[in-house]
Amino acid sequence: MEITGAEKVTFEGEWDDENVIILRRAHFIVNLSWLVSTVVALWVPFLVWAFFKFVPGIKLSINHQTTLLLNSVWFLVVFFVAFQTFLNWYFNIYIITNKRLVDLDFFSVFFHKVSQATLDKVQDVEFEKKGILQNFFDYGDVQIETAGEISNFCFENIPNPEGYAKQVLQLASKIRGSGLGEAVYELPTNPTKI
Amino acid sequence: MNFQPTLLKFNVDANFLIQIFLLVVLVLYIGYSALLYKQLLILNKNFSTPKGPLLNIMGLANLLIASGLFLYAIILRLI
Repeated sequence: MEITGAEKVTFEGEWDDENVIILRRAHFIVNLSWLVSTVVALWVPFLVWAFFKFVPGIKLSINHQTTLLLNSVWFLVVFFVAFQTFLNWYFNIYIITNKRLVDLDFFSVFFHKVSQATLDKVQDVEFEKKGILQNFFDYGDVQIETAGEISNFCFENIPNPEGYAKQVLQLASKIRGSGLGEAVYELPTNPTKI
Repeated sequence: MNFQPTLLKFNVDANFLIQIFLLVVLVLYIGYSALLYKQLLILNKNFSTPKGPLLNIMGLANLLIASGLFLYAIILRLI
């Protein structure tokens, strides 16, 4: 998923003269597994109820209030797991501004990480698409090698990885060519997508 | 000495056990939901999008519903 220009996006530590050029998350298709699991989990109370209702010889002796509480807690936990997984996807963001790369990682409630490097540090960019799903839905990983002691960036499961790798290289070469430490990038007239 | 196995008979209500278990689960859940809400506030501050307020509301609603269920579970035990 990419958001460019259309959505007003700001991040902490953004410089005054800095503009977000490209913002991407992992492809939405990576959410399919937890979406399916959530739908299945939502059916569990009904399946349990049907089991005790229709299988002869088994009787569950809990009252209506306890059943209500049990089901409510179950739905709450399912919602929580789904919400947490959604946030994990939503806040794992790869941003390219006219000055630098920013990688925001949200792993869990207890751990999130922000990595960044200026575009002039970009040395090499490679991408890979492996497996049927990645090739079918056109997403993959982009590895960005940076100079110095800055750790390399790996942008995982992003849509159109070859286009993204090309854009990063173009921006980096523009910066190195200008020597100004800032890329000049024209935003498209149709601001929904680049 | 003569050791003989003893068989203890308990007559525990399933409702009681389940309600106590759910109370413990809800206490842990409320703690975790509060952490999630706090984390959401931090993340939305770090990275603000138009959907940020909606996510905050969802996090807060989750915390409030969990607290409501906890109160309901306590009331069930008291009645």
